[in-house]
Amino acid sequence: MNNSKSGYRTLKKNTIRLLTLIVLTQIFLSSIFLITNGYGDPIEIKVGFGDDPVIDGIVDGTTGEWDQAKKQKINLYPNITVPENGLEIDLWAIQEGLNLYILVRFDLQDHGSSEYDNEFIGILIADEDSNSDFTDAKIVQYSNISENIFQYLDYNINDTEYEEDIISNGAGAANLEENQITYEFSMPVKDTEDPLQDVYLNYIRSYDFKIVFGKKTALYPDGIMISNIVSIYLEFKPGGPEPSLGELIMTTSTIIIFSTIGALYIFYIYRITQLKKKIRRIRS
Amino acid sequence: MSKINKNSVKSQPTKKKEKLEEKFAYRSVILSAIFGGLFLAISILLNGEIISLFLADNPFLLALDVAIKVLVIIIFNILIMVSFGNYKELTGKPVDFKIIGLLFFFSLIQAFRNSLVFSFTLVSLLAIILYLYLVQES
Repeated sequence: MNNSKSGYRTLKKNTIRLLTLIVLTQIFLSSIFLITNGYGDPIEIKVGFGDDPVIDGIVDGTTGEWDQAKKQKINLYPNITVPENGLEIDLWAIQEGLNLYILVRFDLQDHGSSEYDNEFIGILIADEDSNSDFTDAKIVQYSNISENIFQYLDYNINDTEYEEDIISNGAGAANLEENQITYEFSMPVKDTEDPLQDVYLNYIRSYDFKIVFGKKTALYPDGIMISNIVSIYLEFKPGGPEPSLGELIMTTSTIIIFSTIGALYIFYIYRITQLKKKIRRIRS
Repeated sequence: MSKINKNSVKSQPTKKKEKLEEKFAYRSVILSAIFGGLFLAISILLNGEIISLFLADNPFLLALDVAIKVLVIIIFNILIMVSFGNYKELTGKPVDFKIIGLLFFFSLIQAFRNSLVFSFTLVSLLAIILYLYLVQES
């Protein structure tokens, strides 16, 4: 009997040791996983659907616009590979109908001064699987920040040359309030009128977006001072596409596997309820 | 006469102890099974992808998501193993490798939807089996 009691204690002690070991292993493995994914890879955002915001550079809290947006804080760096001296920005994204909406917001000191008269935020878009080869640019360019005079520009990028699109797609606006500036963009998804000069955005795919900022000159890419790359996954519109065969097999397998385990667990619980009777039977 | 009396006096606390330990083991069977069931329910929700803990595709959150899913399966495995071990002890039989193998399979299969969760669970479960084997040997 003493042996049995010490057996339970040993089991308890061993369980604690084992749990500690598992937790430590998990932390170790997760750390390795973080390292392999941490460097050089773009930040990833999965965008869902919501109400369309008005592109005016103002986040109207009364209408709840941008409330359903995917919100992320990212940093723009002078050199993306050396993440130092970053400017923290709010990056929001939402889909509605056949449009993708992106908001960029940040604070700078003396933001209304003439120093920022040539400020711009650009969103460069890379084709799917193009390994960050940005060929499309949507830019909101200020010419006088204190009077809130800006222009929305749609360019296509030919090597490093920025050429204005014949047909401008999408929209952009900005608004400065004290030191905080808000840039809003909208761009068509699966509906561009200019597939040659614009990146054709499609559902259920990821695209690399490069957020660029400059304030010295209204020239690109010379005026770009800081930037960062974000990978945005565009979801299918509500209602969703027809589930694929693979998805159907996966769902069926999930139901079969978990219901089998659940049934076995219930059977085991039933066996436990019969345990006392079984012990009595063994003793007699 | 006196000999019989002496024996019966000696066996009284031993019997009481035996009953107490049996009670403890029975409670352990039930509690471990209930908590195991709780972790199975969490595993169904997370590993069955009925609910998602994190929506952002941030590498840290992704790693945390994987770690939580793996931990839930491992804790389920350990709790059910403890419960089953005590169950078998109460019925006077040892836990054989067939049972351990079945539990290993039913734990691992919970992670079939995600290759990362699957591989980490496999490594962790193998570590548990190895640990139990080494403890058994010593």
